[in-house]
Amino acid sequence: MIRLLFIALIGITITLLFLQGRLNERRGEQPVFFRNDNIAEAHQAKINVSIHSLYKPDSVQLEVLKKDYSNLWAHLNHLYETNEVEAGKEYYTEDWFKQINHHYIGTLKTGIKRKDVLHELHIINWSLDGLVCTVSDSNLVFQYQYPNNSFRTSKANLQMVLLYQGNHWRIDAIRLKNETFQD
Amino acid sequence: MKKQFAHIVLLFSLAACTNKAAQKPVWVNETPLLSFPKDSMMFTAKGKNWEASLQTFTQPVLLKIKFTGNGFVLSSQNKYGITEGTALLTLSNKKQKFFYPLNLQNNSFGEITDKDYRSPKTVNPDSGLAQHRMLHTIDEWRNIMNTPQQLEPFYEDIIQLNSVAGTYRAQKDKALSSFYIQPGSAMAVPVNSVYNKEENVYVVTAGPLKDKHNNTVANGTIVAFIYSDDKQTYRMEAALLNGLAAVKIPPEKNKQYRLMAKINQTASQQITLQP
Repeated sequence: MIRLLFIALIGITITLLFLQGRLNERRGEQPVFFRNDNIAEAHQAKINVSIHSLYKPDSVQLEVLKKDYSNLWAHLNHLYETNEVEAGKEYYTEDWFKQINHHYIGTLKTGIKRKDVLHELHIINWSLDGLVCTVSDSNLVFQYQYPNNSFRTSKANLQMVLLYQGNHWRIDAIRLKNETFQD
Repeated sequence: MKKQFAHIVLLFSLAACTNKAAQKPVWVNETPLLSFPKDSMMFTAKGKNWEASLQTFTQPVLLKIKFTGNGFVLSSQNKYGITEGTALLTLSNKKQKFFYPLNLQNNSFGEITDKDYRSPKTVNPDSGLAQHRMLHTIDEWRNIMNTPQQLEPFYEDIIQLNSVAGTYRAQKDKALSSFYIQPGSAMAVPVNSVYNKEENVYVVTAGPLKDKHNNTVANGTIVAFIYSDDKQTYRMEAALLNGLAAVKIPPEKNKQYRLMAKINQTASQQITLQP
């Protein structure tokens, strides 16, 4: 009898320890420097930059901005197509990420794909410490592909606020001034 | 013959069971500018296999659909605003999709945030008192706004700060908008010594040390006290506290010290230590 109780006690302890271990299993999200950004790598767009700010970025800062801007658009297009909010979070500020999560109840494929082809990026303001940038993107050319495999092109004019946080420029706010479709 | 006839009838029945293509719903209260999330969209349509989403410039947003007798009404799932601008309303019926282009405007700006970015965050008067300022305004849904005072959404200038050292806020209610004016370097190093009979030491004090704007030089700044007799040179250091630094130097019998206090290249006048 005592032996049975003893065995039962050991069995319960082992089960408890096993369950604790399972509960402690991490979700397994890899750190950013281990991850491959396939979405950004697959993206290509032509970006012409002109500077109108009081303080001007140097050539290294400009290259970083161009690369991050291109990667940001890769993720914005992916978000547009799928509503997958997590994929591009390296390029979103916390406030932007919170905003897009207000309308997230799962991914949503509408079948409409957007591709940015050309950017005319005007740097309107550049902070002295190189951490805040406001830009105007004029004559932005988009190509849309619809579920019936038809295509449309548009020209847009927008403004953006970018903040350099962590390792990347991140979108903080946007204003789409106009978008004209070319039928 | 009868069997063949029965097969033909069966074939036709099967064909009749395939679904007819849905007709494009009619937007009853169509508007080119939709106020979101306030406005609802009314459609006349047949059937109940409809799904609706709003493809905004940023992301697709699923809409709430409420079926009525002759169609349905679409509305927002929640009260949050959206990226303003061009959008596309998508109605799906199984594999068919219908699109309605429109423009979106938020019903309310929500909480408006004025952004005031300053750089550098820490200003040292030795380098100057100029600070770069960038201003813009954002609504709660991350749309950049034009403020009434300016035609363009972005503004920048260079401002001259006052010379008094301290912690300031660009925006009164935002601790994150703090910036700091540090005290600069000492302009001169006044020094004096007093002989303390009880302890038998010279108490040598440098200060009060002020920068060119009369701010007290920062705590922790190292002052070097260099003193010599005819044979040797000695050095003692002390950190400034509230603009003052002091050392105690034991006298030697029949020796006179000449002393100077220095902060980097700024030196005091030479004094003689004597009882």
